Formats: sequence, C-alpha cells, structure tokens
Amino acid sequence: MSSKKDRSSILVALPAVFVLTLCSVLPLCWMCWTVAANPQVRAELSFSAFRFELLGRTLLYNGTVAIIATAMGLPAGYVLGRGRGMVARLLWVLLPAALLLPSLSYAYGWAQFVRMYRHLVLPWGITFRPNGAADILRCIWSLAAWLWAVPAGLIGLALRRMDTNVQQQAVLDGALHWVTFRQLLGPIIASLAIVTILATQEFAVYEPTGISVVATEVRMVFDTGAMSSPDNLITQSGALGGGFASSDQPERAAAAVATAAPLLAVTILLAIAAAWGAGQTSGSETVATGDWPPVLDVSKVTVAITIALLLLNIGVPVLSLIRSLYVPLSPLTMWREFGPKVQGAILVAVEASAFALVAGFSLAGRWIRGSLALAGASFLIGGQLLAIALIRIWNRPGLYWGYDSSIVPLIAYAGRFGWLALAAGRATWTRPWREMRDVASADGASAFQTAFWVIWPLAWPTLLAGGLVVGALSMTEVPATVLLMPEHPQVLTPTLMTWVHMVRYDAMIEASLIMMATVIVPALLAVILTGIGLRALKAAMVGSPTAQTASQRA
Amino acid sequence: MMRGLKISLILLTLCLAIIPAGCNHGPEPEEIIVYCGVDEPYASKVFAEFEKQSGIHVAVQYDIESSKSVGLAGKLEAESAHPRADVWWGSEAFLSTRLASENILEPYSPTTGADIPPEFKDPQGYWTGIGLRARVLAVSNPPPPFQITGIEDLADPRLKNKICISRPTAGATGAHVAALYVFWGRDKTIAFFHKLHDNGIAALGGNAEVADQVGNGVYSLGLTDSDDVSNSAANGGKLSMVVPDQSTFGTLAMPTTIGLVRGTRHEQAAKKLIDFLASKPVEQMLIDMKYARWSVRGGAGQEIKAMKIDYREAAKVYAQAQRETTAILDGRM
Repeated sequence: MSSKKDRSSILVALPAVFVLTLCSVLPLCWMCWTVAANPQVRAELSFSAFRFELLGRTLLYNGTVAIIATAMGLPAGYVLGRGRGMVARLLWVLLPAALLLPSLSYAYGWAQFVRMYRHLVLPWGITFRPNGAADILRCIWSLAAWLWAVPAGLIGLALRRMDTNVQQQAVLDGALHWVTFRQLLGPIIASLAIVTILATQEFAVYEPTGISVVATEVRMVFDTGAMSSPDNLITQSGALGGGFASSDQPERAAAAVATAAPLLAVTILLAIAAAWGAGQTSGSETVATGDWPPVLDVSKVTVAITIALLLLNIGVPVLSLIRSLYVPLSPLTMWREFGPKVQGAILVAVEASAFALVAGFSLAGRWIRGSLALAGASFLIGGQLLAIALIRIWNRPGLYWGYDSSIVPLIAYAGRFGWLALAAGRATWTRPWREMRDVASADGASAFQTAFWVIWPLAWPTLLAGGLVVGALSMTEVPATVLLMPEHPQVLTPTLMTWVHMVRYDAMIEASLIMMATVIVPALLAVILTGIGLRALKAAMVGSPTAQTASQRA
Repeated sequence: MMRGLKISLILLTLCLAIIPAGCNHGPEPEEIIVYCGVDEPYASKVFAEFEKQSGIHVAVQYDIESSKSVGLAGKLEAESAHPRADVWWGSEAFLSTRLASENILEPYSPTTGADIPPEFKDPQGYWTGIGLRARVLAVSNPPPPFQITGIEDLADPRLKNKICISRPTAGATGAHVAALYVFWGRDKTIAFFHKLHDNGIAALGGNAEVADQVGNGVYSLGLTDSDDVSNSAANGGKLSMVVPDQSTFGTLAMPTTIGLVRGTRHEQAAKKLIDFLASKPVEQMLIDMKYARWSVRGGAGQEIKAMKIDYREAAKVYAQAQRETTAILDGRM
C-alpha cells in the first residue's frame, strides 16, 4: 500500500519534473558545459583591472538602486503591513504596477520627464550628459522606482507575520521603533539583496546612453563578440575576427557566460543573504492578517508619504509618457498598429503561464525537494544567460521546430518566472496545509487523493494566481525577449528596444502605454485570486463545510 | 493508483499540448521574414507600401541601435543551417559582403536594379545597394570656435571632452572604422582612436544618440550618420551637418544593401520584395523621408566626395577593426 501511494505521488510530480528539466536543468547544464567545452573563453574569467572595474561599477550602481528602492519601500511596507481599510487594500493592488511595466518603457517615461524639465536644472550645470553623473543617477533612479514594490512587499509581509506581542511590549517600553527595526532587519537585508540581483539583470535601462555594466557587456559579447577582453582568443585580430569568418555563435555564447561569471558568483552570495533575510520574516508559517492592536496601526504621515511615493513612482513616468505624445492619444489607433504584437506577447505569456501552472499544481500534489532552488537558480542567472542557453540548445537542425516558434520564449519565461508558480505550490506545504494533509492521511487518503480532494479544490486560486503572475511578468520581460527576438509570433518588446534610444518617439510612447494597459488585467486577476485563496484557506482552517466535505470525500 | 496515473497523464498531456500549440508550422505562404538593419521608422513605411501593393505580409526583425545590423548579421550566420529570414536589408555594405562570402546570401539581381551603377552592387549579385547615407560630423549650435572640415578635427584639444561617437559595435560606425583600416591602414587608425580617447571622446549607445546629444548642446561635435542628423534636426535639435574631408579623401558613403537569404522558403515572394526595394520609387521614398540623402543612381560623386573603398577588403577587417577600436575607446588597449 505504502509503495503504491509513493508511486502515485511520483506520477503526480512528473509534470513538474518535465517542466523543471526543460526550463531550468537543461539551461543550467548547458552553461556549465559551454565554459568547459570552450577553454579559450576562460580568459574572461581572469580578474583583470577592467573586469574588476566593470564588476565594481555594476555593483555600485545597482547597490545604490537597492538602497533607494528599500528606503522608498519602507513606508509603503508599513502601510501594507500595519495599514487598515481601503488604502492598504488598494496599495496591495497598485504597488506592483510599476514592476509589471517593461523596464525600458518605465525608464523611457523617466527619460521623458528629464527631457521636459532638464532646463530647470541646467543653471546648476546639470546636463544629463550620457554616461555622466546625472545620466547614471537617472538610470539608478529609474530602476529604484521600478523595483520599490519588492522591498515594500517583503517588509509588508514581514510586518503582517510578526509576533505582535513583542511589539506591544515594545510600545509599553517606548522602544517600538528600535524593536521593529530589529525585527525588520532580515527583510531589509533580503530586500537589498533581491533588488540588487534584479537590477543587475537589466541592461535596457543602461544601454541607450552607453553606460557599461555587466549586463550590457554580456549582450554585446553575445550579439557582436566585440566587448570581450583583448586577450580573449575570440577578440584577437588574426583569429576568428581577423578573416572573413566572424566569431561564431557558440563561442560568443561561451564568452558571454564567462563574462557574466564573476557577477554570478556575487549573485549567489546575494541570494544566500536574501534567503537568510527572508527566513527572518516570521516566527511562524501562519499568515495572521488583521490581528494587531490599533496602537500598532500605521501613522497618517506614513500613509501620506506612501501615497506621494506611489504618485511619484507610477504617476510621473506614465504622465510624462502621455504628455510627451505629439499625436492625439487614441487607444483604437494604437491597437490597430500594435495589436498583432501585443496579441503575440499575450499568446506566449498564456503558454508560459500554463506551463508554470501545471508545474505548480503538480508540486502541490507532491513536493520535490530542491525544485524551488532549481527554479530559483534559472531565475538568478538572469534573462540574458537563460536566453543564450536556450538559443544554443534549440538552434540546431533537429530542434528547429521549437527554435522558430513560441516554444523557446515560453521555456525562457517559465524558466525565469516559474519559481513564482512553484512558490505558490510550495505554499500548500506550509503548516495549515500540512495539518489538512495529516487529517486526510489519517483518514486513509493517498498523497494523490489528498491533493485531488483537499488541496487542489482549496488551493486553486493561489496556484492560478502564481501562474497569472508568471504570465504578466512574461508579457513585459525584457532581457531574454530582446535576445530571443521571437518570430512566430512576434512580440512587442524587441521593437520597443529598437526605439528606446530615440529622444522622443510617438510610437515608442504609444506602444509602452498599450503594454501597460494590457498587463494590468492578469495582474489584477492575480491579486483577486490571491485574496480568494487566502479566504479559502482561512475558511478551511476554521472548519468550513467546504473543507469538511473535501476531507470526507478524501 | 490508477486515478493518480490518469491525472498525471492529464497533466503531462496538458504540458505537451502547449508545445504543439506554440510550434511554428512554417510561416503562412504569403509571409516573408526580413532581417532589417534600416531604422524602423523608415523601413516600416516601405514595407507597408509593399504589403499594400503585393498583398504579401512582411514580418520584420529590426536591430537594437547599439549593435545595429551586427546583431542581426550574427543571427543570420547562426541560423544559416535553417534560415528563418528570407531577405536581408542591411544598413551598409560591409556586413552584406561578409554574409555573401560566408555563403549566407544567394545571388539575385533585381529586375528593377539595372540602372544602379556597378560600384553599388556586388559583382556576383549577392547584394544590391540603394539609398546613400554618409558619415558626417554633427556640429552643435553655437558651433566650435574653429571651422570644422574633417574627422581629424575631433582630435583637436580645443574640443576636449566635447566630442562624441557611437560605439563601433553599431553598424555604420563599425563600417566606418573598417573603411579607415583599409584606407589609412591599421596603425594610423589605431593612433587616431588613441588621440580621440585622449581627447575625452564619449562612446555613446548609437548614432542617433550622438546626433541627439549634439543637438541638445551636450557635445560640440559628433561623428554620426547623415540620417540621424536630419532626424535630430527635425525633432528640434539645434545642430548642423558637415560632410567631412571633402577637400581630401572624402567621407564614407553607405548604400543600404538588399540580399536574398540562401535557403529561403519563400523564394518568389522574397524576390518580389527585393525587386520592390531596389526600385527607384522606394529609393526616392527613403530620400523623401530623409533616411537616405542621395540616390545611388545619381552617383555619389555628383554631390559628395566619397572614400574609394574596396568592400571586400573592408569586410575582411570589419570584425577586427570593430573590436580594436571599441577596446581603445573603453581604455582597454
């Protein structure tokens, strides 16, 4: 019986194994193999002054992004964690809005703001000269304002899951701020690490004005082979670049991986810091919203600051885009022009979403140890390296059916964001769910029966929300999409990238606005579903008839 | 157990069903794919006109400004065993020459290109050139305190930290440095780029960025493409254009180049498009839109003095010139 049960749960896990192998394991293995198989690119791994500067610059810029984003995320996190009523609820919906916009559209919005008002700062000698201090600060600010929802969400969740008894005692002792800061230290460290990682993966914000960071170098090495070190064989005159034959794609791909290697090492350290920090968010696995005393409520000043930040971080770039339009704003005309590519983006996003969703459901049936770490690893390597790996894996005669289709982009998106769907699946293995599984198991249900009759009927909104988030992020993903340039169907992001260097361009603005409008739908649905999922879980925990029926059926 | 098996199979089938759903079963018969180095705002209007006239849908892949044409050429090379693209429309001639030498292009002489002079066509018919652009100097308003005549003015110490260029990874700049490698020789070109680096030249993300920054008064002088200067001026940039070295060796004049991709799955439709692109009205369209400045049919020599460059020689040193000059601008060589 026991072995039968085990076999049944293994079969439930098969789809997740399939998705993980395709989207995470294969690209990661390719990365290791390609550096091993191309010894000439190991010159890229040597730590020259150039490389040291490049890595230092990348970490300095993106570390600053993390500090600014976390500083902005603190008040918003407080409102999320200790706010009541409509403002707090609305914030859960509005806060991720910036994050769901394509990074290059969002940065373009800020670039338009700078273009419109740069004359105001000219008297102080601030010129926004490309690659100059003001220009770099513009990029840093754009990324920080784009990513501020991450620390806000982490801090908000941490506050909601905090032991309020400690805080109430701190209020009596007059040490609330100090105690809360100590309790939030872990989430703050996690925020800093996560935002730094996310920012280092973005090249589209830095590249148009020629700012060199690791992400821009990786793309250049892969696309042109031109930015590698002079001592790399690929770049040496008289070698591959010297004759008619250009440096070929396998070697450029290997050089790109090697170029990113030092940053990947730092990313691993940051990921460990993030995991440690996130682990400090709560003493329990129970999500206990709404049970803090009024004395711990967020202050009105913090709410006001948060609303101001929301208007600044979402309102200013979006309004700047609209104000920069020379042609009348016409959704119908915009759809007529960009509709096919937006539809293409939706199609691929739906496929990626479904792919991740299947994995999420599967893992809710049977958890595989290490699966989240694997999916997380394929996220941590960044969209560019994932895309390069997939191009090299699929660009071969036998697999051309996949290369010239939406298969490769959907694998890239599932590999990049699939961990979110898996995390939704993982949530069904936390304490309240485990208790339900235990009850079902005591009633003699197999692992599969438990999943089918108890877990899936209750967890489907959360699992579906995870899949929808994957879809929403896929629609606006930049680093992998720009390298993959999907042809069947075509999507909008690579076209945006060809326009982003233009100081002001109506088509770029219109296309950005239409993408923003489109992505709101799955994002809103995900938020609503998460709410339904949480309510279902609460109902199950207090022994609602639904849960009891489910348990009886199991 | 059986139910578990069934559900697993359903989940697996769902997974696998997504794959054929996303699979490309080949483009529609009346669709051709173009890899296009010509800027989208101009090229898209040309393709729209072709679609209107022929009823054939054109799916276009454009390149990013900072790796203009080079990235797409690399993609063509990587996909040569099973090409996705049917037609190549490059922003200059050297990459097309390289692609021809690598057997990635197929010879085809467009029926509409008989009046194009031989210097703007590949001798074997691998590519055909239309619509000349030129490498020019974008001059700010107010201009520098001395008369600008040639590219060597960029190294003038009076312009220290006030000059800019696109990174040579962008197609036209890469072509220009390759042309200088052939015309001046490697040593002189490298010495020139060292001078530029010492004079504080800014290496920007693309030629359009160079024109825009000069037009905004951030820099006094920039080396860029004629169409980017026109475009920046049309968008309110305060700049003028100097065609450099007209009393000495001339400037680099670049036709856009059209080629048929070897192994195309839509040969007839692709040839139709090439015939259309090589036609006189399309070239005029490019000139009217201010992408091209001169017609290849009029002969570049009539209006500007162009460098006499052997495309094949320049194509040979293209990658080397691009990498070395980029390394110099980055301070790595």
